[in-house]
Amino acid sequence: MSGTLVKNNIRRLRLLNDEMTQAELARRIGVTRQTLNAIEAAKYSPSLELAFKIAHEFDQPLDDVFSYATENHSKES
Amino acid sequence: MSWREKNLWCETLISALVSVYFFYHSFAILLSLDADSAFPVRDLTRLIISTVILSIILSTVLFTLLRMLSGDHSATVEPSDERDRLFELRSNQVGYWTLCVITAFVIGAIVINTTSADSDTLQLNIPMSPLLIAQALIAALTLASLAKAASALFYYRRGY
Repeated sequence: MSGTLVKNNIRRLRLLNDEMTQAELARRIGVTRQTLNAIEAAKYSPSLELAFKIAHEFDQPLDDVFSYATENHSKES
Repeated sequence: MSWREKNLWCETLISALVSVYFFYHSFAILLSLDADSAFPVRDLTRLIISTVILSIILSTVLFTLLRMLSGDHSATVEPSDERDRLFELRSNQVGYWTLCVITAFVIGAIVINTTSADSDTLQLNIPMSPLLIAQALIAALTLASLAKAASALFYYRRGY
């Protein structure tokens, strides 16, 4: 197994928000840049609290930032 | 590489070097024993003390070097986040199980050695003195510490 089924749009949202750097977003949500990088690469699933913090930073609902890609859903889409 | 990961590399290196030093010398002492020779209390005590001193010196030198080489000192106060805590918990678990397994072997050796004194079939022929048992437990602690640091490094390298 490599990574997680929790996918995200963090990279796209960062670029849309004045090309915010990983370091800047990491500082705002209180994690290390390495942790944000792991979340962005879908290698690590953040806690619910951290997921809400990230969504809040982009002023987006949680669903627009994170999605859960089960096998069935992946086939449907 | 984060400050935390560099710290872990130092910790692993120190554990590995101290383990090699300790086991190399302890085995040399134990293997040099004859059947009739007295247990080398003085040699083993000296070895344990020198291992502790070596560990302190290595820690001081390596962590000072690391601090000097990583120019940005603000990075040294990097707070831990949930991923760091997760990796710490996982690596603590690896260290704990390593300690349990080795301790179980030590206890098993003591029990076999004690109960099989009159047996012809099961004998260890190891002089299980309190000092040797203490040495085995120190070995268990050292190996558990090494396993903990190595597994934490593995998790950081893997990323999840």
